[in-house]
Order: sequence, then C-alpha cells, then structure tokens
Amino acid sequence: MKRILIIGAVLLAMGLGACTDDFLSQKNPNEPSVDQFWKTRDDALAAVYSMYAPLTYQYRYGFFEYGWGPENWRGDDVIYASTYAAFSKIARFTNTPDIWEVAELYRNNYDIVNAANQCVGNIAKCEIPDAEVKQLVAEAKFMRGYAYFRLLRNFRYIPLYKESPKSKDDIYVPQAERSVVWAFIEEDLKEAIELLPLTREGDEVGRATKAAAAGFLAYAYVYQQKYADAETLLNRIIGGEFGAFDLLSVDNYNQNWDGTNEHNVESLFEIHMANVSPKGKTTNILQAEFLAWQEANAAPWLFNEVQKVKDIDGNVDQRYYKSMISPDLPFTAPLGEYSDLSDFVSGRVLILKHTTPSWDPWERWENNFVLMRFADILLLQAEAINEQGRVDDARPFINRVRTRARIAELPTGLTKTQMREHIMHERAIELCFEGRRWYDLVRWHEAGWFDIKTLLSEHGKPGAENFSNQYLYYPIPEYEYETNPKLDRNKQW
Amino acid sequence: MLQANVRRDGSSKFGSDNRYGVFPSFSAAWRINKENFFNVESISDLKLRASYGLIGNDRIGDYRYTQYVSGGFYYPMGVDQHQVLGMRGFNLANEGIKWETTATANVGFDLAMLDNRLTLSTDVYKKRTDDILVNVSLPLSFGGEYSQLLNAATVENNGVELVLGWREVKNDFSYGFVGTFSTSTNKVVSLGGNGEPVWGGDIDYNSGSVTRTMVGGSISEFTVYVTDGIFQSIDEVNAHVNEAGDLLQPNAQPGDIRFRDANGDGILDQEDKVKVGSPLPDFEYSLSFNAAYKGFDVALMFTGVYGNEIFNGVKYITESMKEYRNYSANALNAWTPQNKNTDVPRAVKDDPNGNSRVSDRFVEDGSYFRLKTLQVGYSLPASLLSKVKVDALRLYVGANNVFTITNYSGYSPEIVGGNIYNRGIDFGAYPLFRNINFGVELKF
Repeated sequence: MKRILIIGAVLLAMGLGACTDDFLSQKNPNEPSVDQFWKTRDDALAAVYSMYAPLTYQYRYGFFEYGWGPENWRGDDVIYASTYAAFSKIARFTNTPDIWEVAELYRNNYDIVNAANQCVGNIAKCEIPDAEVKQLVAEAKFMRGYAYFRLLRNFRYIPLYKESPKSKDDIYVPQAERSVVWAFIEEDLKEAIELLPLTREGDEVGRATKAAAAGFLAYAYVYQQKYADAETLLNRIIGGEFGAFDLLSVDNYNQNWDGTNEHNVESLFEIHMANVSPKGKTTNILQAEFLAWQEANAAPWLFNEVQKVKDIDGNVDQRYYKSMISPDLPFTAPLGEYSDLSDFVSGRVLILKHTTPSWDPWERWENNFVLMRFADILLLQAEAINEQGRVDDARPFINRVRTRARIAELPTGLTKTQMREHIMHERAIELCFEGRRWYDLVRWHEAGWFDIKTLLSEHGKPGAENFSNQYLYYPIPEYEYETNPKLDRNKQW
Repeated sequence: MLQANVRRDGSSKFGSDNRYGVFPSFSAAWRINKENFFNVESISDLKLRASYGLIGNDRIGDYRYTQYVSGGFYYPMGVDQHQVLGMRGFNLANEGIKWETTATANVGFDLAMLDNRLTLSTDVYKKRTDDILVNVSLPLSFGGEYSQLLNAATVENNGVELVLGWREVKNDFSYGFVGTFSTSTNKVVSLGGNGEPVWGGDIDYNSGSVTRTMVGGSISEFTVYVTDGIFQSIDEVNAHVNEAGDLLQPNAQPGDIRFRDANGDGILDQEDKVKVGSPLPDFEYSLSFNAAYKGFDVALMFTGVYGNEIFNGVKYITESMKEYRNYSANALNAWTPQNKNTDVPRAVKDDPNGNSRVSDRFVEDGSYFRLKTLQVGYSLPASLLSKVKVDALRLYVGANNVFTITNYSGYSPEIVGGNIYNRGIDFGAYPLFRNINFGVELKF
C-alpha cells in the first residue's frame, strides 16, 4: 500500500510539473498581436488606411442605408418614397432609439475614432523619420476631428474617447458636453491644417490635405456661430493658401459628382468609392437608389424653389437639370432603360445628383462622393460675414456661386435678413442631396433664424406635424445604454 | 468505495499567468445492504453516494487574451483607386481570462426492492460555475469588436433528480414503468466586473433586447414592456397620461396597444421593461411504459416541462404589420372599429405607436406534455419461423410526436436555445414533425 502511494505521488508530481510554459505560448500566425505591430512604415500606413475604410462602409449598401440615408432623410429637400419602416420613421420624425441604421451611423464614426486614436497613440513607435510621424499623426487627427464632427451634428451628447481603450477599465466613457467635443475637434483640425501636406500625388490621392482640414474647421466654426474665426479661416482657403480652388463652369457642374473629373479644382475632400481594383464599372449605389429603386425622391418644395430664380436668359436655373429630373419640366437626359418607368410621372421628381451621365446600366461607374467643395466654402463665407452684419461684404461670395450658375448678381443695399433669405435659397439649390440641408436647418433654427417645425410644415415635409425639438438630433442608440453604464438617460436625445 | 482524482490542465488559450487549472474530484459510495447489521428482507440493494468535483472549461477561440491586429479594412486609395489593406487593433484584450470552473456536489442513493422490481434513484446536487466564459457586449462607441470575452459570471444551480422504476414478469406477461422528475433553481451570483445587467435576444432588426440577466435573478429573464389592452377610443388614448397630464403615448390612435409606465416616471421608455417570465421550467418529467404479452409488445414515452415561458419570435416577425410584407393569418384579426374584440392591434404602416415593441404580448407559457413515442409490435412464434430458417421476425408500427398538449401558439414549445442570453426564444426553428412508421425486424 505504501509503495503504491509513493508511486502515485511521483506520477502526480511529474504530471503537474511536466508542461513548460513555452509549449503553451503560441503566436497567432494570422493576426499579429499589437506588440508585434507598430514597427515599420508599412504598419503605420496600414493603420492610416484603416481610418479611411469606414468612409465607404465597405458594404456599399451601407453607404446608402447608414450614411447617405440617415443624413438626408430628414431634410426638406428629400422625400422618402419607399416602405421600409426604419427609414420612414426617420423621415417622418417618429424614430425611436432602437433604429439600427442610426446605430450603424454612430458606430461607423466611432470606428474611425478608434482607428485614429490608435494612430495618434502608436505611430511614433514605428521606425520612420519624425517629420513623417508628425504628418501621419496629423492625418489621424483630421480623421478623428471629421468623425467627431459628424457625430456631433447627428447626436446631441456623445462619449468622447481621447485614446483607444485598452481594457475594460477604459471603455465606459460618459457623455461629454458639446462645447468640450467642439474644442477637441477644433484642436485636432488646427493641428491637421498645420502639418498635413498641401497636395497628394499618385498613391496618396484621396488622403487628407490642409484644405480638407481647413474646410471642415471652417464649417465647424460656422456651426458654432463663431463667425469671426470662420471668416478668417475661409479667407485663407479662398485666398489660395491651401491650394488654388475655384468653381467649375456651369457646363461642367456635374463633374462634382459624376466621376468624370474627380479631385477637380472645386473639391477639397472626397470619398473614393471603387469597389474593385482598379476602379471599374460595377456599382453606383446612389444611382440604383435614386433611379432604379427610387427610395429617395427630390421634394416638391425643392422643385418649386429651384424655379423661383431664373438665370440671366430667363431660363430655369441650370443646376436643376444637373440635380433632378421630372416630366413636369422639359428634359433632354437620355432616359434609356428608365424611359418607360411608370414611376416617372407628374409630381414625382427623381434625383440625378451623384449619378453617372449615362443611365445605361452597363455605363454606370463608381464615382467619388464629395464631402467638401469650394461652392460650400464660398457660401459659408457669405454667411459668416453677413452674420457679423457686413451685408455688402458678403455679396461677392454668394455672387460668385450665383454667377457660375448664370444667375444675376445680388444688388448692394440688402438687409441682413434679405441676405439670409438669399443664402438659404442658394445653399438649398447648390448643395441639395449632399448631406448639408438638414444640418443647415438645424443650425439656423438654433441660431434663431426661424422655427424649424413651422418651416418644415410650410415646405410640405411629410410628417412635419410629428416634429418636436427632440428630433433635431438622433437619440443615442438604445444598444449603447445596454452596454455602457456611464451614459446618462437624460442625455439620450 | 472511495475514489480520488486530481488533474492539472494547461491551455494555450489563456495568458501566461492563467494557463493552468487544477481540478480535483472525489467520490464515495456505501453499499448499506452488504453490512452485517442490515437485514431488511425486501430491500435487495441500497447504496448511498456522494461526490464532489471540479471541472474546467476552455472552449473559447484562440489568442483571445491579447489584442491582435485585424486586417480587412480596405479602402480604394490613390489616383487609380487600388484597394489598400488597412490594419488595426480590433478586439478588446483581456489578459486576465482564465479557466471556467464548475464545482458540483452531489448526494444521492440507489434503492432496489422486492427482488429488483422496484427501483428508485435520487440525486440532490448543488452546482456552482465560477468565471463563466462569455462574450459580453461592448458599447458601439468602442469602435471595434462588438463583444469581449470575459470570465463574466458566476451561476449556481441547485436541483433534485428522481428516477422511479417498476418492472415485473409474470409468465407470458411482462411490463414496466419508468418515471423521471427533475427540478432545479438557477441563480446568478455575480456578473462582470461591475455587475451591470447583460441584455440579449434581439429578435429582429430594430427590435431591441428581450432578455436580461441580472445578479440575484436567474439567467436570461424575459424583460419587456407590459401591455395593458388596446385603446378602444381616442378618449382612452387621451386618458393615458402621466401625473403632469402629458400623454404617455402621443402617437397612439384607437386600436393601438396601451403600455404601462411601469416605473411610474411619467415617460414610456426602455426603463419600463420589466421581468415577465423565465425560460427555465419549474420542473421537467417523463414517463415511459412498456409491456409484452406472448408475441405482442407495446412501448410509450411521455415527456413534459412545466412552468417556463417562451418568447414567440415567430409571432413577433409575422404579426408586427409595420411594413409592406407578408404576415400571418392572425393579422386578419387586427383591430378595426368593426372588430374591437381582439388582442391584435390595428394594422398601421410604420407602427407609430410601437405596437410591435418587444412586450409581454409575445411571451407565452411554454409548458407542454407530449406523447413522444409509441410503438406496438408482434413477434411471430419461433416454432413457426424455424421452418423457414429465420431466427426472429417482428412486425411493428410506431409513431413519434403523436400529440402535444400545450398553450403555446408557435410551431413547437421545444426550443433549442442559443447562447445563455438567448434561452427560450423561438426564432422559428424547423418544427417537429409527426411520423408514423411500419417495420419488419428479421434475424437470421
């Protein structure tokens, strides 16, 4: 018996001590752990690219469902013309915090934030020259500022992650005051203006430049009614400090989105949408949505508004023909496969902006989506100056946009309110369907120009009667409240 | 009889500080009827049993203790827009994950009486699982993976199991019964680091969560809005107000569902979800019977569960009526001014009142009693078969899932659960079918 116990004890000791730790320390052959990463320039570039990936939503329907849609459905320039409940609720101001598409919009921008935070925190570890480190970090700060800006214009109180969470302790971040997030955005974009390159060539085309950062910072200033800061920065952009930007001629106005002349003189920043490599003719998700399935239509209000101001020859504003099409105005566009569509009926206005010039299904291509262009910069400048009470000084900037469209210049001697009316008209026509309109209405409402609910119902926005001020912003997604105990219920909307 | 075991397991799935787990187990049994002092004639066997043991679980993905760099973030970069591969850290590391350990203590006895005709076996157990490895959802604002693997919970189960049998042979006739009964309670002792509740069981896009697991409760409790009938008139809508006189459901119209402001804060929102049921039954049981007389034999088996609830996800999908798509025939019974005596709300596009929000409307009693199998057979006499050189020939007819008694309105109350936070949710599994078979058993 005693012998058995001894043998047993020896075997036990062997068993417990036999395995060495080395044997169980395995390196993942497919996905390196973070301590193996952040070594080379390739690592740094891969991390930088990961910030851009969410812009396309990779899954291209996502670009429409989680991107373009939630940022345009509420505007009075767009009608949601199909039957999906989530979109219909958003467009008619009955949305609740459980709408997944809004959660995706939210998450998508936080994907950019996390990627950017990793770049900001780690790129200096890579073996590349200091100047390059600084430039890449500035690029990350641009992307972080851009993402937080998009979050802030869609959600009222958002969590502010200044670093990428490393453990469970870092991950529950409470909502920040809006002024704190705005200050963070401004700081990021200022550094980006300072350190980003003026231009991008070859393989770098599509990455952020000084002008991209300056454009978004100026927009952020106007958003906060910091008109003097905006004016100064917009002057630098318009003066050519960040590149010689100009307006395309009215004949080439389409080139802002039709894919035939990308990164042109009017563009400050755009999303690349190629689905295959190299860029081909596979997908144009917005063309499919606007022309084939017609989930989104132009609003009748916009169709009337664009006809209010005729061009110098007394014809319809040329921008109408590049943005919309309806049987109610003469049209020349080749209707191709859509010519016998029963939906193409009186009273219905289809969206042309963002589509390619041919409606032939085999001739559509993956055109870029412009996020910031010079016409917007000029109109922001007109607004920033007018709001400081210098109405006549605002004139040249709005007139430049009008002149390009062959619309007569505005006279001198307008009142500030009259100028506002012109700016409102001009931005509605010039920037429709570009994710500007709803946010213009929100900030003008907040600046006290008008009551947004009254305006929405005057403009015949379906569901305007459901609107109340809580719908100025999306609610923080309910899923977020289930997973982050630090969020404040009183700050959901 | 005594037995002891110790094992030490190492797993590469954990970080270097947590690779090894030691899992001992002991068991003891005492055959009382073999003792000298024992002299009860009718008892043929009596055994007392006790055991205690630990077992470990490391069934998780590899490398989860470290933050790894994920690829797959493509973007069309450059003047020709060629796809470039972006990479970055994506998961939230947890260096501290370790073995999940289950400790089970069990006491029971086996009894056989009356020449082994009556048998009874009972077990009382207490099972405690510490450091349960589960994926815990992360905020979307993390901007990475949706969940993190954590040793997130401790759960206790206490239960009793009984098996009672009777078997007798009398000349040509033999018959027997076996009945089983088991009941258990489940209690969540701890959850995560901060003990925040875990939500689960999203039915559909935009449905929100259905289950909540909280410390002190049991796992995966159905936690949903509480309905309070259907508004029959606009007056009833206008009467549904908070203390300040504001409408609780401003988008409601007659025919919509009235929901309770359960926490009484004057706002109808997610905070008003309350526990309305549990997917865990009070008890489960089965009863089987078989008998044979001469060449004939018959066998039946009944099974059942009692006291659980099911979230009828199929009903949720097929009765929401919020979009233009197909719905079940129940939608025809929707409320209209002419059809007020119904529990199906009005059919309205977009569902402005949120009639389709997850509510007790979809939580149903999941108890059932089922005749699972039935078989009747006849074996031809050997004397007849020997002439044709066949050893045995049996003809039989049988049926499975013969009938089910239940109040559950879905396809089948027998739900196969997903992860522990999705228990008892009927996502529309393929329904059980009843089959009837005839057979011939032939032995040469």
